[in-house]
Amino acid sequence: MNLIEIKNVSFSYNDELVLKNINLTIKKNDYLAVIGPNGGGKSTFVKLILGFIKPTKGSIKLHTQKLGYVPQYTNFSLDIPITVLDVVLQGRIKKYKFFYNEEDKKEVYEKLKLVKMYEYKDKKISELSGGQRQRVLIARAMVSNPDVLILDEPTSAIDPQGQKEIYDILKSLNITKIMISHDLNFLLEGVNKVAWISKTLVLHDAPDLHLHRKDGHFCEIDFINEVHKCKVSND
Amino acid sequence: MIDIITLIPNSFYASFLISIAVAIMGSLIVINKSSFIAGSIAHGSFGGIGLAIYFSLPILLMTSVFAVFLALILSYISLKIPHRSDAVIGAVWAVGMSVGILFSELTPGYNAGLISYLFGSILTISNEDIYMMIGVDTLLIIFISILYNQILLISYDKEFAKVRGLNVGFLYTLLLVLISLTVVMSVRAIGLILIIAMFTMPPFIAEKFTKSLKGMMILSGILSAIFMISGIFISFYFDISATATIILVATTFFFLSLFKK
Repeated sequence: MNLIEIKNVSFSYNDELVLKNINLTIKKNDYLAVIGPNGGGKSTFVKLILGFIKPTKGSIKLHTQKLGYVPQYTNFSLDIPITVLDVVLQGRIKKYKFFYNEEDKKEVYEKLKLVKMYEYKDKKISELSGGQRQRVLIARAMVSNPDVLILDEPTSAIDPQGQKEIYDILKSLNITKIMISHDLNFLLEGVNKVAWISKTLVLHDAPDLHLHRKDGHFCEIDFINEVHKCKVSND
Repeated sequence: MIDIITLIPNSFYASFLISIAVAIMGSLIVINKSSFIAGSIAHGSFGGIGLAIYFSLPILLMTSVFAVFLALILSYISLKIPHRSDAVIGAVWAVGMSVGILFSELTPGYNAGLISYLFGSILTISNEDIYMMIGVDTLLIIFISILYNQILLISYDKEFAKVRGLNVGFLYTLLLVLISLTVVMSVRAIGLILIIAMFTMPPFIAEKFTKSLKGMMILSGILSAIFMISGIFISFYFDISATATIILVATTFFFLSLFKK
């Protein structure tokens, strides 16, 4: 079942072409990794799917309105006094919903347990580590029971142990996932499709990439070369 | 103590009514990092005062209209070109002041009341000012009672608010319009120039001691009332400017709070 269909999408900003002729279909339960160089258009790609910006050309068809979004935790001011519980409850807000009820709280507790943050529910968000904050944001995105979870570099500026915990949580979620990351290690964490975005998009089924670890890490150069070879052959 | 309360009861009513506004709008100004915008609206609304004096219009009404107009401009700019909004905020600040200065100069005669709008005069608050404060406070309480969760979300994470379907532009504009009305209601008591200090220092202190926006609002309201009442008493007994004393009392606690980690 197709959840998102992107057809011939291009996007320009101030006359500069950011994305060119993107085609992609995201199916139910896909785990799509979005990788590529800085400034290659990864964030723009995600913003297009979320509807924050409109494509200059082409169309994006969403077969669900239930999108969950996990931004980078580093985008937030830690000065705002807010507890973990209040942050996760935000995932239950809707346009014309102004107050939370018991069902909302029940759902929040369930998702906090899922990300192993229940015992921190009354803590201030600023008292948590980066990894813990990111788990709270995953819980916030999950409380609306979305069909698609979109994550923007959820492991940036997080220590390896924290990253591993987040990957394990994501792997356990039986849901369609789209994740931007600079960390190629997560490609072995259940990802089934890889989109390399650098103005254009090159799609790979992850198992076809013959990724290997070197000293516990992916050999990024090999991977990029592989993608590049595919891109050349596609052209 | 009883003497001063009997002599100038409106200054005490005004202190409590302004403290309610500080609690709600001051906290929202601080968590939204909108002090510069609020300062721009406050100073810019001097244009409304100048126009009201020149055209002999009701000052509070004209200043409200002018301040709301500035809030709409600032909201539009902040949402459309956020990366350049600081320059526009600064321009609105200066243009509003310039309009005010120009029209007050063009008005025949000497307008002694202008000074009280610039620096505040909490000891000479009229019943009309008190009624306006009650009206604006009522609006603020209704606003925050209904929209608390939505405003907290747009203050914390505008992108996620959009994903949840909230009309971020509308809520942000509403926030700035209410800031502008709050500025106008406080202008006679605190003054355009000092108003932003009164609306940011108590919430800034409260933020350090609370776990939620609700707690921050309650504590900043209490602090504001304490600063204002103690400022009035100190100024009364030393025969000095009440508004300046209030701000200096708040500033003392503001700097002390910087030591709190």
